Amino acid sequence: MHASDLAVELPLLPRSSSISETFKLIADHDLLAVVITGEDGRVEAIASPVEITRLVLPGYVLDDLTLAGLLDDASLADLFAAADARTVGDAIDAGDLGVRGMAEVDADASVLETACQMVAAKAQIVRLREDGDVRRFVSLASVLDALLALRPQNGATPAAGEEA
Amino acid sequence: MTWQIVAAVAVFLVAYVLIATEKISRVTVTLTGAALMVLIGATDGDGVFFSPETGIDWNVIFLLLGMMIVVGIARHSGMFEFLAVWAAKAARGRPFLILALFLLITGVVSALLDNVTTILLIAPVTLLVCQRLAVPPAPYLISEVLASNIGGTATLIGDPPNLIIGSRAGLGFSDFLLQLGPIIALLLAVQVGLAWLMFGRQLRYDAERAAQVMSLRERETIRDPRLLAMSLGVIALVLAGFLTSRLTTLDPALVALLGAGLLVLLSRLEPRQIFGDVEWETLLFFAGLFIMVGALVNLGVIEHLGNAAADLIGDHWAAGSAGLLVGSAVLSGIVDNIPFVATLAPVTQNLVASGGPDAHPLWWALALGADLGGNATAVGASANVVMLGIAKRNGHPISFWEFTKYGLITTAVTVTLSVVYILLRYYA
Repeated sequence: MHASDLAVELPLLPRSSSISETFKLIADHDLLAVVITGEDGRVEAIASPVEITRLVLPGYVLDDLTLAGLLDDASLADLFAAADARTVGDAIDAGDLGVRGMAEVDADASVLETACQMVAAKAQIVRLREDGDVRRFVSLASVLDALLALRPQNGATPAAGEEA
Repeated sequence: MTWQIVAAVAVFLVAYVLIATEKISRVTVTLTGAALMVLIGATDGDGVFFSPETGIDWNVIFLLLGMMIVVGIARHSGMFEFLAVWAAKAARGRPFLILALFLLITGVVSALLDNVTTILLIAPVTLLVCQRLAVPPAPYLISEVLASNIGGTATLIGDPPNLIIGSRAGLGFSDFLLQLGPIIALLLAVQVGLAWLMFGRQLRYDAERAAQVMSLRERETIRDPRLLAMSLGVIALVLAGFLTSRLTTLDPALVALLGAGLLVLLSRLEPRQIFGDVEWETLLFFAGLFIMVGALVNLGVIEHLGNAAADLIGDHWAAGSAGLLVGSAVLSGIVDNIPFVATLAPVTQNLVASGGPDAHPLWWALALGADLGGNATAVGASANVVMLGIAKRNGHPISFWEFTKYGLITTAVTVTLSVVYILLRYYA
């Protein structure tokens, strides 16, 4: 089994979507990431829950975590007002979101190789390195499922060519 | 003039331009420049590592290292954030009063910490308070960075150029405090007035918003009271060590290293966490810079410059001090003041050696000019660049010209007052 066998496509969102809309979509559907596309349909960014949450939280607290204890529920109104007003396109233009930084794995990588790459990158999701405009991804949950499914039962060894 | 001198001066000038334009990282520039100086024979191993005149100034390197470790640990304690929130509440949420208090806190703290660290500590809490007050953060951030460059001038450890001056001139913490402290206190008070003139009308009081500031609980910033107590204790010991260094004959670098060692021992933090906050690139930048300047000293270029300056000044030391102060301020607004002072310090040393006590105030003129000049433009000091980055990242971009407009006014006023101070205190 290879990484490409586990690949799934992620929801696409236009760059005009607000940060709040994207946040809500990810929260409502427990998504591991969303793909942000430009007007021409090209992938401009891949936004994980951590990245979208970072865009909602105040940057100054992330610069100085000592201040996190000063935030309370009253702060949320201001934060979401800012998130309503800003689009993911704005964040891409400001360099806060992009396609770089996300770990990649070859389409023909074995499941074990994929697992190693994901653990090394501490990634819940990786991009599949394929020809063309990449929009297929592999999640860690699917890798774990695959590893369990491929595990030899009762000490049996896998047949030749049946790689993990 | 030998080919070595021509080559060494060319390497130095190219390195200077590259540092000023920031096209290549400054540590890469100075280390490459240092390597070239060695390859052309302008200096050698003994000159680089063991000569007090032409080598790496280990006092500066280890003083910086010690203070980076102390500050790196102390900043995790939350004491600075606590102080800022406490001040905002003491001002009852009044925007200008908060600005004035933040300005003064920044000025005083930056006399004890380096300016970049001070800005990294004060800027985030400023943004939080401004968000609560619904006021523009630019006036606060600009006032703070201007105050950090002013306040840092007051002590040996407040601004890196002072470390270079202190080591070259054999001046200690108390020398800086006694000679420059009074004028810096005056300049900070004047800056509060300037801030009122420049920003006062932009800041409106809103009782509802002020209540949001009053609801902040400053105790939430203190996550580790034990670390806070230890940090305060060690900082107090280090300051006492600096103030009594003549009595104890302990160099400031040793005091800082002893303080760092004690705090490392007491804090029990992970070594990776402690040493991760050390700016190794800055230390290497200083080392490369000292090798490059040392090569020029070795070849006699600096002595030649010193003689030319001495001929120009003659016996007019008052005019020479005023000229050095203003000239240093102008140049420091354009180029990084660290390489500038590293170059000028040996020249000034020659002048002071030849001119005697009348020429000694040249050191204070150099410190005031180089440190205060950093306020003139948005790229005049590292703290300015760091503050602009924080502002932009948080959605409040401040343009080069917006900063420079206020910076030039502040620099003109502070430099003029400093010239008057030097003339009245040392030559009247």
